Amino acid sequence: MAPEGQTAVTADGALAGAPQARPPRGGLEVRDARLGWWFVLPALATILLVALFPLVWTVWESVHIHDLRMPWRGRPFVGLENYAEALADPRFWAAMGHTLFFTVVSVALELAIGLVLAVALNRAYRGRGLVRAAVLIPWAIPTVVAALLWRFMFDSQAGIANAVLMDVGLMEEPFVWFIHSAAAWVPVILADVWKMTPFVALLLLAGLQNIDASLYEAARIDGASAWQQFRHITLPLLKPAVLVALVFRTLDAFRVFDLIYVLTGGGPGTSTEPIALYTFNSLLQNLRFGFGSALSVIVFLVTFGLAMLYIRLLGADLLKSGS
Amino acid sequence: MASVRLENVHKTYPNGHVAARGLDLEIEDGELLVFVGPSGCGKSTALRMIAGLETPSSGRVCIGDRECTELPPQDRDIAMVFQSYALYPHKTIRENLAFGLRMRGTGKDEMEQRVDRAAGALGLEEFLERKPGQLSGGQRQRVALGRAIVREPQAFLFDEPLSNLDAKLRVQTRAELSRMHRRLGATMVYVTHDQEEAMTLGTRVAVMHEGIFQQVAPPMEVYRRPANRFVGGFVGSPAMNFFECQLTEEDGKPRLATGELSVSLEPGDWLGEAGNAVILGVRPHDIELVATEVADVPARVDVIEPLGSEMLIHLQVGTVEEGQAVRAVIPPEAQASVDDAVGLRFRRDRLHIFHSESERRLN
Amino acid sequence: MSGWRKWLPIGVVGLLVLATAFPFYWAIVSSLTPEARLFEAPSLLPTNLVLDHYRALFDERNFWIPIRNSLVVAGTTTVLCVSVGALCAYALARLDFRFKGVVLGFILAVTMFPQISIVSPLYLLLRELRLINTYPGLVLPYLTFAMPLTVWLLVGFFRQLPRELEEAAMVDGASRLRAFREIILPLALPGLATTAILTFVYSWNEFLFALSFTLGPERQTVPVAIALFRGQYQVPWGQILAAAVVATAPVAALVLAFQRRIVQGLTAGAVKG
Repeated sequence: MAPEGQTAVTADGALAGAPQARPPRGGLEVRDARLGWWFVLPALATILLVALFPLVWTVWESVHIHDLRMPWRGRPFVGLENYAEALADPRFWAAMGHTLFFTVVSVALELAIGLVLAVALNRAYRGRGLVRAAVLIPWAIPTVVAALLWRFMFDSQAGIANAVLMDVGLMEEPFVWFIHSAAAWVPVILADVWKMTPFVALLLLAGLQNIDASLYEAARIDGASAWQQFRHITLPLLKPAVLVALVFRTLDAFRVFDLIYVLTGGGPGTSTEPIALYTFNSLLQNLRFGFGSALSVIVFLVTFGLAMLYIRLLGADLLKSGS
Repeated sequence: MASVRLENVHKTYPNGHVAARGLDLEIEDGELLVFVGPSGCGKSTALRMIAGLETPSSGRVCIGDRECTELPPQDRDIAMVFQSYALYPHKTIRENLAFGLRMRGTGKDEMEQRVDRAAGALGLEEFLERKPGQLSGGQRQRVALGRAIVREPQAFLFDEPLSNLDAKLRVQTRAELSRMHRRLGATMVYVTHDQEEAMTLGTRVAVMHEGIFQQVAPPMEVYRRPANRFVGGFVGSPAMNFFECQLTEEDGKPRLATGELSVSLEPGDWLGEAGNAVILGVRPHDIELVATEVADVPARVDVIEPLGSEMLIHLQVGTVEEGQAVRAVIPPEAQASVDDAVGLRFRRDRLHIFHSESERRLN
Repeated sequence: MSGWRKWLPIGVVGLLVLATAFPFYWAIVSSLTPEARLFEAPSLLPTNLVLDHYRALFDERNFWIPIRNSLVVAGTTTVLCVSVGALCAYALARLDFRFKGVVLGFILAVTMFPQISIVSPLYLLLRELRLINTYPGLVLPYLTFAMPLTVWLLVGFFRQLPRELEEAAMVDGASRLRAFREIILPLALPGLATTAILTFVYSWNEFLFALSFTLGPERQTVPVAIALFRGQYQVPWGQILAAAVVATAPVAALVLAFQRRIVQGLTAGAVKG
């Protein structure tokens, strides 16, 4: 109630200065907060039950001996013995090496080719929708199917790869790709690049389309060449999108399983076996649940480290805008 | 219709931002009260607390005789027009208008009657079966108004409802709103950052700054007797000129002085002890160009902007380094050209004098 | 624009489309080629196409069983996730409550869980509950990746809806719940559809869990069935490729029909950083 012409500062308000933030008793915010928890609860409980609880269980298993083939041994606690075994196991390190190799090579190729594609797609206006649909299909099909297509194309007898290479004279006779530990990587990496590059290109394209076109106009007026525009406008402003693609793909490639299971089965021998496949074999082939769980935990920790990096780099402002 | 009362309302957000620090106000039944202030002053928060979309940290909000500080918006019987109109895009105009009635369980016949009446009053009959996306900005704005009117609520709340319209339509709709207020005799609270809109619409204007009502008064009083320096500077266009002066005495008369400026007052206008620092405020419209001998302060013409009906001139008082810029509005036939040395005289009955520290009005 | 500048992007894009399409083209052609001809010198232009492999696929191999299994499992997972996830996502997008940031961060983190890290306990758990080789025994594990994914995507969609719409509905007399049902849900329908499609595609394609938690053909999903195809003497390429084409068709159809929305869903939030 401010009498005419008077500043309506109450004695109370003036004396108290900034008032204490008192939580409201039952206003909209309080109701919303209550309702919020009820809405979140079912999904959150499900996720906790089916994802977090098994993860804890895995950790528990990993410090016990649990061999389904030898139930009479029970499940004695062995501390970090399974981890010690893994770290001393040459096949574990080989599998980590394969995973790293696969991740670095395929992600590097996908980013490089994806960037070229994104820039080209951004320039070519005609038929962009059609192209987008076309490139989405490899991403959307089952990895198993992609692996089989490439396995077929690299088949020693029926494969078109050998036929083409012999036609152009690079090869004298059919080459058996899947019995050479180095050559077996070729179809594996090609298949992954074929399947995932479009996805990378689409992420980068969305990033490109976020860049204000007037920046390029300004640069052109300032006399920047096409390369200078790319170097000084496109690349720096595309960095967030590149980071997203990079981390998404790294996380994905690190857990590669389906592709290699179907394409090479980890072979020849174990020369293309990634860590996820080794873990799977220890668990469900050899039924060594304790040891396999230790491998699972190691895979989780590495992925978790990468995921944290992702949240640090990109999720921070998403979370902020939500709270 | 009902009155709306705020009693010592404070609002502090969880992030520590203080949007209201002690709001006290009674909005009378049938009044159109405008909250005006720069962005971030807390005017929208104040309105949203009346709507129930936000809850005060302390204090009370009453609508009519009912305290509803913590009542959720759906139980308050108020209507609100949003800046973006917030029409439900998937519902037809008819459904948009009827939504509030349907939520409150109004009978089918009455609902149709009231929707038709509101549509008729706003000229929306032919659009009733269309979706909001098929309407122009001005038509959408009318639908938003209609959605409020149809409810016949205790009070209407407007959150910058005209800021998405072009200048011409805004002036037109402003007048329409005024007529609507008169016809309905409704209690209305209106938020805007545009002081011209506030002045033309409000039966009273509440100027807000930093979470406080700086002055609540009829528009002309806010203009003629701003309660403090902030209100003086915020209301009126072009903005008021300010001079930091000393209060001195000369021949028994009080006098304001700084640098070359010297304004003598009437003997009755004592505003405190000689030697006190005060702030002198003069609106550009209250400055005349005169010969330097009879001037309150000499100045140099810097820029002239002819506006047709009048001329806005920018002047320099004192040197560029130590002086200050002053704006004056003079009749178009006045003789002035750039770099002229001129004298300025302030209309004595239109001086605004503020305390230099509290910045409150002294005269 | 000079000539090469205009044509280079088109050339690059053309090359991309060719490289993308060729394996599909080749698979389709081969799946229609009689088994004996497959091992002769391959030719790019098909001659003498037959439907033998497709017939064998359904008549001899009962390929409709894995298709049915995949439809049931992916469908159930999608319905469960979208219906439960929608409420959760709405709360995370719109309502303020304590620890919301923590919940959001947790869900984002779970979307990145490696499946392999929880295979062992899920296997033991399902064995304990006698759910190995059953539909629930697949749907339950699928929730681990599908639920957080659904919630995360939907949060993005709900955030795009203007807050003022619900506020207007509440001032109009609707409770939060009613505003959600009457205003928000209908407007979020496109987002819900996109999310459902993505969840379905992910579930349809899943391999590791389906491989680990099924025992025989009667509960195997499409990817597992194809991956484990065996011939008596040699790899039955014709049938495998026919199966690959059949497995790809529904996903390809969904992607083609909803490509614009899918791209939005995939890139929303991801590029704003």
